[in-house]
Amino acid sequence: MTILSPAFLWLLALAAPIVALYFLRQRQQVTVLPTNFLWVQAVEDTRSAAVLRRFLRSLLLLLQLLVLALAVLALAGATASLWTTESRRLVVVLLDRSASMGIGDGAGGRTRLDEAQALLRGAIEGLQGDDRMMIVAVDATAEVLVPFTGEKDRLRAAAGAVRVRDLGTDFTDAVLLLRGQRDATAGRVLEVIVFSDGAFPDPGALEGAEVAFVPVGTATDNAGITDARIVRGGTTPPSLFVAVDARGAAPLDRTVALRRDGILVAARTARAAPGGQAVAVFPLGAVDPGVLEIRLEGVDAFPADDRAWAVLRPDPPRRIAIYGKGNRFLAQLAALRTGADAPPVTVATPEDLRRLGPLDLVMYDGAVPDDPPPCRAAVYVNCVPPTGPVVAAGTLDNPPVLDWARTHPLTRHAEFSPLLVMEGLRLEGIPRSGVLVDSPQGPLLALVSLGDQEALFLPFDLAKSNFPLLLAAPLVMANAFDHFFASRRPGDEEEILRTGESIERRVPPGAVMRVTGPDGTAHEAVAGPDGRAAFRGVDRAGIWTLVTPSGESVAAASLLDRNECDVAPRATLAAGGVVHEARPEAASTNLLLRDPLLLAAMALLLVEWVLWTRRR
Amino acid sequence: MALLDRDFLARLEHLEVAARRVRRGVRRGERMSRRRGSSVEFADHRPYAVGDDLRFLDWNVLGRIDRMMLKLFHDEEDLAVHLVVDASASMDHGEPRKLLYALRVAAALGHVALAGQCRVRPAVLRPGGAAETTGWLRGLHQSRRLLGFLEGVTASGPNALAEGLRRLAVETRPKGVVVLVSDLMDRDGVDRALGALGRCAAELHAVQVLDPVETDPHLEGELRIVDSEDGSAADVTVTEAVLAAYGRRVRAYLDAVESACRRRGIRRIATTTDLPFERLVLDVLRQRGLLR
Repeated sequence: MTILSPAFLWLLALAAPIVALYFLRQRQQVTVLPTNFLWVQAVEDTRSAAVLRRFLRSLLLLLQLLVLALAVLALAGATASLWTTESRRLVVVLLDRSASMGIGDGAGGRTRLDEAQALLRGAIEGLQGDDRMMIVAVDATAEVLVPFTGEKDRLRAAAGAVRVRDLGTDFTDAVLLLRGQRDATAGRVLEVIVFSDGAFPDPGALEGAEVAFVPVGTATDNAGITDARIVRGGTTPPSLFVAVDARGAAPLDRTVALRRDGILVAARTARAAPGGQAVAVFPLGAVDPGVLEIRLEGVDAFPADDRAWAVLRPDPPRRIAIYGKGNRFLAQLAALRTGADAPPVTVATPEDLRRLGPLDLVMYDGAVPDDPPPCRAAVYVNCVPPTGPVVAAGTLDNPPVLDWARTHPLTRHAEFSPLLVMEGLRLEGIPRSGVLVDSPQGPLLALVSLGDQEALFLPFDLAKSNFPLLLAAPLVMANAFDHFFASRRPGDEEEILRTGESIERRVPPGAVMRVTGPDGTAHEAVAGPDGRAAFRGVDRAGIWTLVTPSGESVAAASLLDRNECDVAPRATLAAGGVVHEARPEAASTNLLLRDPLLLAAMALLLVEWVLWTRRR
Repeated sequence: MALLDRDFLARLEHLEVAARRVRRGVRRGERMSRRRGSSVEFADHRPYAVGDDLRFLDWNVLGRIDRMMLKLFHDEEDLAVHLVVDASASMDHGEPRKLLYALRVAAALGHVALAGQCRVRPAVLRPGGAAETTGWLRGLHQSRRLLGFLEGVTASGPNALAEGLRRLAVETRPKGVVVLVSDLMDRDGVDRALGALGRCAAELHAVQVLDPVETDPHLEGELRIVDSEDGSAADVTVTEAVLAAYGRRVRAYLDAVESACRRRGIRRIATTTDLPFERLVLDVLRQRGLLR
């Protein structure tokens, strides 16, 4: 037997007053009567019963003390282990600490995590002898809190220290971890107890492990913000798209409010059928850059997904360079850029190109340096990168236009049938999906992703084609600039961040980025040689403050997780196609004796009452 | 505290002490005596003897049969009434107190007797057998003295019933009517005590006054029952079984008292203090023949 709350054992001191009261009660009440000889005779007549009465008196005291002991043990949370086997057990506890575990739908407002921790404590107390337990906290990733150990204090401390994080749930890491553990168990059966509300995708199979799914939670209806995006067009002002999901049996009919610095900017009504989704659009043309708060007004079971944040940032400046001898057509086409803060610079040498510093777009005209600077977008005109999958495998000789992608964002509404090309490079390594204008000899226009760089290939000399004279030329280039710059690209400061994603900033190599979370916790991230500092511990929704050598900025993190929005506890756990039924009793490796003890105490009280009555 | 109120005393004066047998008195009273006396009620004739009072010569008989016959008349003599009250500590219990109840019985009987020109001798039994008494009282005017004496009686000491009655029987040789008012609760039994009284040539009555708690106790729990007379204590766990045993013991004891009284010609009148005193005197004592 194990005591969960030994502090209650102090109540056993109540035995002292019970015994005292017993003896006080045993003190006879003095009654003076005219004579007592008849009473003496009457007692003599019942002497045989008197012996029994004395025994019963002692028995009654014994029963009272026993009732007290049982009640105190019940209050103290006495438990008895149901694990009676002699073999050593290996138990892995997967404790969900995702955002939905913070829902307070338990008894007395206890959160799902509270319930799970209570069950886990019972399981810990049930460990015997050589049993070992490992506790893994799971949200978007898995974290081993305690490796296999039989030290209950350590396990209890680890279980009690788990806090809910504003993250989604993904047991994939945990399953991978368990697969590794299974190999190390030397053939012993691994028992896996999953404490979760079950709102997570299939993490994969757990062969060779006995999986017990212990669901927690009761609430089923919820509405939450599951997506938010700031969308920019080439010429239109940015807009905020907010998706609100209705989960459970209740329809959605709530207000989505947008606030900037706490001031209401706009509000939209979101309506959807149960299980449906509503989208609210907020034009941001008249909204100054700053922190935006999106709030789903009203109250539901899961407040954490009723708020989201965004940082509306001004369009970042774009720096464009043209590498080559100078091309009038290309310069004019480059002038069609969007978001550029300066006219394109034309350089002719690699040194000049490198001196320009970080660039957003480089248009290589006929030649590429051997060591081109990193750049997230490039236009290769009659040339190919020195490395990479795309190579020049020959030449084009008056290739006819065979076909072009009429629905692609770059070539939409453009007509390429008049395109004439005298000569060019025959490109290889272009994926089929990247060919925008095709000819029997090879692509004439292609968009290819080269790692971190997106590249547009025009494998012919503009001066040896009529492309600059076609209407398609400005259309394609304008579309390309929109494509490159309209949405934020890697390296841009994010506007909307999901918890679990990293915050990245460009800082000098080796510089420190200080990060302060919404709850005031401070962190640091050191920039690598590539000049990027990344902080990956975004586990709280809200505004994060960043201090870099270039100044202070903010990042807004939000939950934005459709799985977490679905708060209904699952009845089963699907893992690798295997459905594990819920087994709440699996956590009761230690049987909490409260109810049996209280029942026994009540039974003893009944026995005492019967004895007392019979005695009378 | 007045034992009896004025109205009740007035009602008592319509009663008289009933004696089944006429006992020799010492003074003329209102009670018909077997002795021939000088009352107006004719009793018998006897032959004239020298020295007889010629006023009682029946001249009619002399004229008719020529014999001198003397008319004899019933004499009216007084009745001696002994009122014996047990004032042991055991009488100092109950509500009202048994002693108070007993004293009121004695007062009522005494007043009735004094109103009937009886001689009354109240006596209170004390430890050691000594008795407090006023001596003989006679005449209604002595009623106040009687009441005053009884009002001053307090209960104390152990039971002295046997010794007290023995001394009463030996020292006063009572004739007439003896009324003992007591609870008749004696650890050693009342047979010996009543034996001394039974040898008296008097008409004997015993009014047994008990408290209801003695006959039907409503007690429970762990009790230490202390005897009011000798201070002895008995630890008793009062249960239904003990109560039942006590009830049997009480009934057996009262049966023994009744039996002892019968053997000695004592008319026992048992009452409890919850019976209204007026009802006892006016109804019960009359029904049981002590008063009429």
